[in-house]
Amino acid sequence: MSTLVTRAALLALFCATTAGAIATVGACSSFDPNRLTEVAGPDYNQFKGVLPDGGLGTGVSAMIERRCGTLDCHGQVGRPLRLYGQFGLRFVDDAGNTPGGPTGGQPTTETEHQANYQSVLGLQPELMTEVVQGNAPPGALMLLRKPLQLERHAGGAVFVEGDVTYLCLTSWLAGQTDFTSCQGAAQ
Amino acid sequence: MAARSLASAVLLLAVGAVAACTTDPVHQAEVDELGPEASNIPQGQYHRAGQPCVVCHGSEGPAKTQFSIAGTIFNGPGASSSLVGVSGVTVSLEDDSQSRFQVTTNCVGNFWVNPSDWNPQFPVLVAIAGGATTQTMQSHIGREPSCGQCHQLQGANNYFRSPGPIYLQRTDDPNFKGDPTCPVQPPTPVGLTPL
Repeated sequence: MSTLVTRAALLALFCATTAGAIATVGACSSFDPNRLTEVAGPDYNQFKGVLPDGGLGTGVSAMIERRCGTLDCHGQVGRPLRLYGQFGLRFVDDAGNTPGGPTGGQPTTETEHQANYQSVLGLQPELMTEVVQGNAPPGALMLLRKPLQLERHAGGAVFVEGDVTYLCLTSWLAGQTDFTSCQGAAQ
Repeated sequence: MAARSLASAVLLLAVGAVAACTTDPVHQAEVDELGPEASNIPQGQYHRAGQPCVVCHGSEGPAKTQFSIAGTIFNGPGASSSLVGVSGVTVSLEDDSQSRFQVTTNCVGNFWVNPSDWNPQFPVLVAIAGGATTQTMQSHIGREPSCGQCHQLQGANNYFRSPGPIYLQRTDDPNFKGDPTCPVQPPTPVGLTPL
């Protein structure tokens, strides 16, 4: 009797494993390499500091360069949310050139602003889209949760709710960047 | 017999545990990368100027003493002459809780802070002052206790991720030879090469 039960159990296990393997292969074979995930992001010009009158001020990029992008934190190639900037990591193009010069050289370049924007959006692209489209609260983003220390963050608490850094980020996410707060946070 | 087996197992376990604690390959690689000691400079407060001190003087060793922050101040940027450490520079530090601490460089430019004296809550702001000159660091220190980890001698492989060594004067003075009373001569860093 016990031998029969063992055989039946083994057979069941074999069938389950085979079915699992077939399902896995099936899932892989349905992968579409050309499928794109469209991401909606907050305004890029406000991110890089274009003021409503068209002038250039201190935007979100300049703020996160100073607050998050130091060389020992997110100004490193190996870190998630990699950030470039004048006083931190400089962008090196495919040809090995550094248009902004060395660390401490020229002001942050357009390419570096774009790379920072992509880093911020690329952190949680789907959730960022939900936030921008009004389907999720900004507070759900890791971009806020980590520096608020609501999630583990190796760099600790960087700002608190209501301070200038928080206002700079959340106003940008809401589409109306508070440039005064961004300037205050970048100092 | 059983007691002997048990003793062997315990011993094996203890050896394994110790080995596991001392063989972090990433940390070991960082230590190895610093190279050997300079032959004319003994281990101590004058050695390895410009190198990232807390790689060894951290919780993972191998140095016996730990530092909460440490680095080296040079006289000029070393763009047109050799880097020369500068003594008597006051390094002023302020942490996230507004706690402040000051430390002064020795004759090779080295300074260090013992955790028992000051254990900062990062981020930390820094300024250095020597003679009539004061320099304030453009950004804060996020978490790195070794100044030399970011402030490396700039070369082809790191100019885009290092602001260069820390220096007091904005221009080099070829006549500046450092502290003549310094027991380590010359007080220029040995083994510090551009990456």
